[in-house]
Amino acid sequence: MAFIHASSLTREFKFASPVFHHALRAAIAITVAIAAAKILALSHSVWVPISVMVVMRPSLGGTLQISWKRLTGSVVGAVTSIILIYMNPSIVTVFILVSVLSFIMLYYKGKNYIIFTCSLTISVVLILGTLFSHPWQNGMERVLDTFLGISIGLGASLCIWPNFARKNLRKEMGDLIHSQHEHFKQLRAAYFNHTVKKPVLLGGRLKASEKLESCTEKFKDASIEPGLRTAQRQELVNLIDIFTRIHRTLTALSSIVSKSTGVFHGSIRPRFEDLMDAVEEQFQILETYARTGRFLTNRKKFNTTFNTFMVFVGKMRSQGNFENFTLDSRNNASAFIRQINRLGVELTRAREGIEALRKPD
Amino acid sequence: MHKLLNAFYLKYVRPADPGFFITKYAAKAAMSCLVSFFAALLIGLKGESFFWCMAGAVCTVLFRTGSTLKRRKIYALILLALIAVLVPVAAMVGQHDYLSLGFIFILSFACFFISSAGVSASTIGHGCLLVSLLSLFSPAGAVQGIIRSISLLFGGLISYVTNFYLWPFDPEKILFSSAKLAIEDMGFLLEGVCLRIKNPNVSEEQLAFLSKEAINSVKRYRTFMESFNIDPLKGSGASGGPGLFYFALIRMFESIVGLSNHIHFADNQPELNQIRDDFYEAAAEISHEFDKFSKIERKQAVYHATDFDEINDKISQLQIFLLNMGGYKQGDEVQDKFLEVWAAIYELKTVVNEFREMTHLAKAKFKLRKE
Repeated sequence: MAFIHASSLTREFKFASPVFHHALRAAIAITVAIAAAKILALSHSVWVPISVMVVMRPSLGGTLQISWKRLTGSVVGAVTSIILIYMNPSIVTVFILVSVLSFIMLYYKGKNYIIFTCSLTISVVLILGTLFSHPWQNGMERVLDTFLGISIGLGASLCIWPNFARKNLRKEMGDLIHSQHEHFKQLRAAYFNHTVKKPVLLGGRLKASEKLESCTEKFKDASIEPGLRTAQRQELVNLIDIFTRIHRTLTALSSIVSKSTGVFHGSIRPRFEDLMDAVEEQFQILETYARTGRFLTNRKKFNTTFNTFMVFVGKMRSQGNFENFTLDSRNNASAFIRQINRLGVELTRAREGIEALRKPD
Repeated sequence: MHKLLNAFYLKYVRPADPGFFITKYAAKAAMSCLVSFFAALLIGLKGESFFWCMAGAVCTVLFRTGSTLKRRKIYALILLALIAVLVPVAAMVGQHDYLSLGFIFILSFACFFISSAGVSASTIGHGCLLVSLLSLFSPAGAVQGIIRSISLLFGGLISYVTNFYLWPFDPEKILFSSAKLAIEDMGFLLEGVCLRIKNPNVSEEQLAFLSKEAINSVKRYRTFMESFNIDPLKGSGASGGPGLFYFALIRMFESIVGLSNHIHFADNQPELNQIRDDFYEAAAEISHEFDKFSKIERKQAVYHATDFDEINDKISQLQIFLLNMGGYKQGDEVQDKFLEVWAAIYELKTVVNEFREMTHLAKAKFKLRKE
């Protein structure tokens, strides 16, 4: 494990690496914040670099998201604490309040950053207000220091190798589609060959799920950044919905695959392989289009392939070719086919979504 | 009163904190800090030493990281060791303006760069940077710095012991609660799916929300397994393993999602109304039984036994009814609709099979007996 970590650190330790850029950007911003705090001779100057440290995110969108939350939490917290201090609470009351606020702060850590910052600010200002005089100044200073820290953080994000989340969308989307495609390949292999084990399938799905989560976060960051049209912001949200539905369909396919009894034998097999190839082709086209913007023309439209397949299935059924199979096997196949259709439809929607996203003004 | 509290829990608490897991987690952290606080008062720490003692305690709980209990303990110790070294250095460096800028530049770069090694490294890095900043802004000499370091270690270690040894979680209890929650959440999803069969007003967004809640519950079960050093992936083979029940939960979830993808067969299809109503009845009964099963209790160790034969009979009747409708004789367009109904019935059957398997495994894992 340590070896893997060491190799990833060595790999990223070069000037062109985005991680290197981010670390350097953050280091410059924090150093500037300390210099500014010292020059301005602020009485609680440490709050400035801490604010910078907290808001620095790899992308501008991420920094913007966290910045407004921190500022809102600080302002609400400062106002609340000033009101509380002017009510002249006893030491015991302050102790109980700070204990409860610490619990709230830990409860919302990772859940709601505004409440986290708000309870932290109230605790800090309450303690300072009890130990020293001028509670009003302490509260105001907390807000101003936070504001200064956030400004420095945002300034650094904008001026030093600005990293717009939307610039990475191609790669993120491409990686997501690739992982979903890989998972689909595993499911296909498992359905026909029974060679793929359950943990491998689960591993494939977890990877796809992680990619989906990462992509969702990047899309959200991108949608808050300046430079996008309203329609494009909406399209980002739609695309995430589509990719989530694709993921759900793969989940449902997994259930069918686990009950597979190998239905598609005989003359239907090549037709079915064609259908599966068509889905894979859809994935391939979508990935290339997402990564490069280059649109590969497909052999056949998915709809056409699917309809041809269904006509063939209909003929076989009317000829009684499926009578040899158990009802369960036939139903398993029906369920599989319906999910494949759903997958094909969603992949087509995803392509249309990306097209809309790329559409010029 | 009990019913009232239960209703309050279901409406307000459960959506935010199912099973009070986060509450317990936060309470444990707050308690660790309080213990450090009273310990510091007890040994008479005052002023700056008291502050640094509390900084160590808060730091230990605020920057907890690691996917297993063993790792969390190791990472907490690494964090404490690093800040114990960095705090006196930062205090001394803080006396010189330019040196302090250079020091913090290098430290910030290192802390942010190390995030490429993973979440845990990033969390430890941020913890180190935060405490170093606090020390840097109150410059002091070497002796004062070492005293800070000792105070910090004192508070941090008390918090560490309280957190990991004095108030540890009982693995069996936690696993049972999280399994129960996962079953309950899947029950809600199944109920939603059943409602959707007859009521097209149940939106996809609502079902997606329930589905997300259910998968998060299953994930939570996995996380807890990992926290107790139990490998969730050991359990897929025929010989069984600790992860057997986890796989049963996954399959159960997959089957409900599969069902939810096929329940639209009767939308705007009046000729399928009868089969839709029968299908709904069967699905609702399964959901009802599922709901009863999800009421498993740890103390009494009892579960509601479902009569699966009766449910399977109902599904068989549905199949016969559908066969008698002779969909494949009615042209291509109708065939397509009937294919969807067959798929839906198949998925319903899968749900029942998975439910039976899950009941069986839960019984064995949590040593349950029939009501």
